[in-house]
Amino acid sequence: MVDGDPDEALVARCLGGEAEAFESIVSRYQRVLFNAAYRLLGDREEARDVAQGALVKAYEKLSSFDPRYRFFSWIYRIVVNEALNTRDRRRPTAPLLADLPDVSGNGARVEEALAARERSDSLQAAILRLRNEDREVIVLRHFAELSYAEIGETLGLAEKTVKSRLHEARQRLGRLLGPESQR
Amino acid sequence: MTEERDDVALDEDEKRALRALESAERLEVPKGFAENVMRSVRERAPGEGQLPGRARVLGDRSPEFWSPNERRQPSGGGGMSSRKVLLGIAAVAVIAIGFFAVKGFPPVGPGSEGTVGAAKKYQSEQIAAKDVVLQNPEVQRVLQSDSFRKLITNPETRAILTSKDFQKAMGAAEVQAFLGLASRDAAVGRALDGALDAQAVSGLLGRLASDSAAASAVDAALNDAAVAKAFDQAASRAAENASAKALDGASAKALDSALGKAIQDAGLERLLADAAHDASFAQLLSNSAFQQAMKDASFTSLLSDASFAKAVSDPAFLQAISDASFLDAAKSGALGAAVDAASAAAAGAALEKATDAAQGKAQDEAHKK
Repeated sequence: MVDGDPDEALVARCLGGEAEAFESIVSRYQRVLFNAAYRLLGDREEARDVAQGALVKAYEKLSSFDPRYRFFSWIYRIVVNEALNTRDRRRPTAPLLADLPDVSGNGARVEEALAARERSDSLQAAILRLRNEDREVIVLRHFAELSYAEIGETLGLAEKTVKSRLHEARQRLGRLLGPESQR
Repeated sequence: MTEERDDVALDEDEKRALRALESAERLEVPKGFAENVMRSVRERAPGEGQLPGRARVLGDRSPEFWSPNERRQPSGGGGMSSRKVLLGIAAVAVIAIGFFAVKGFPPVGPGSEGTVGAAKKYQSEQIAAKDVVLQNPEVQRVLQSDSFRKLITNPETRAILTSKDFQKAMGAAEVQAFLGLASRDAAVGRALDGALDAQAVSGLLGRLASDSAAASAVDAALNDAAVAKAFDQAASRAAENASAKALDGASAKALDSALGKAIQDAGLERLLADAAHDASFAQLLSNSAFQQAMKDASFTSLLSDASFAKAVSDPAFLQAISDASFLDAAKSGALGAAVDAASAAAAGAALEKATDAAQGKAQDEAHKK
């Protein structure tokens, strides 16, 4: 396995019948895809299923991938769509916030961890209250760390539109967080 | 992946959001994540000679999966306009031509000819495999392969390959021009390749062959705003040059059904966008021979045939069938006669012999003139 191979080379190897080459793609994107799905869904189990399912789908449809576009744009788009569809199918319910990391420990570290968890809870709750369009750009920018152009390619938007949508989405997110989140 | 700054000229709300986002925790991937994915991938890994995504072709539609704009697009009813039918022609034409253009049809170069040498006149006697030794081992391998044998000994396939419509369509100047474009322009080639490998294409071809109705789905797809926009941009030139009158009602229905399937795939939109930029594409669409071929259900059936797809994926096979002498052989009837006469094992050799014979005959005739 050659982890350093560019995505396009790995895709070509997969298309050439070397299914194991897909493992490098999985290694490369699993964490960021899982985090993106989690921020879109707010549920760790669902995020895992969506991210895994998206990767498998990507493999299945690999021959349809247009090499003129960046592979990660394609796979992010799959995750975003799958996550939003999963959320649509879900029964209306309160945001799931109970599956954040374990914060067990002692003394000041516990207090610090609890505060961090509270901030994380607040952020995730606010993200989940955003409209889908806002949530997409927030997640792709801040959790997938894509550029404006890359977000545009992923979502099919002009770069200018991405910038303005992101600006408005963050304003709305900030209002949802409220002044107390600055603590 | 980004070096752009987000903290320039922000108001308090946005600054607050930015701080929270930047300090947000990134979760670790659950244990067994990659292993589970790879287990599923291995289960889905195609067999030898098959590409991922080709195994399951029909009935697996996830339109929201492919295009940023296709998720949750509202769709409405409505009948087919002639413009949409024309766009259907464009889609089918591109796919069919692309099938050959991208996968091959290279000129046969030195080394692919048989050592038997061109016959001086047409000979119909029984031919044995030992009579022919090809200089190009790749071509020989393909000609003697099971997939080629199945293809060439299938009566329906042979009928198509020897049909006048097929010959005319493949020999048309417009077709050649488009093939030239595809071979010269890598971007067009890649776009075609992506679309041709897509699920929708096989579905399209299969649907054309069977002509099963899917009017409501097609209506919905054609009324999709994103699709309409893409087609408007991409195919306007092609549509202007094609003739709606060339289609009868049944063909229009088939094309519309096929289009409904095909446009589910974003790759097709890109394909059209690329193809429509070239004048030769528009000329191709208005070529009557090509339109006639596309109306033939058996022609599209051939394109969607699994054996044919497998054979066509082999460049050496394309070398064999793209040569002008092959078409001459098909026209003369020598191909069918040779295949009928030869054993399965000698089918490839028979083809080569027939090709040489036809070529020789053509040369003789030319010499007489």
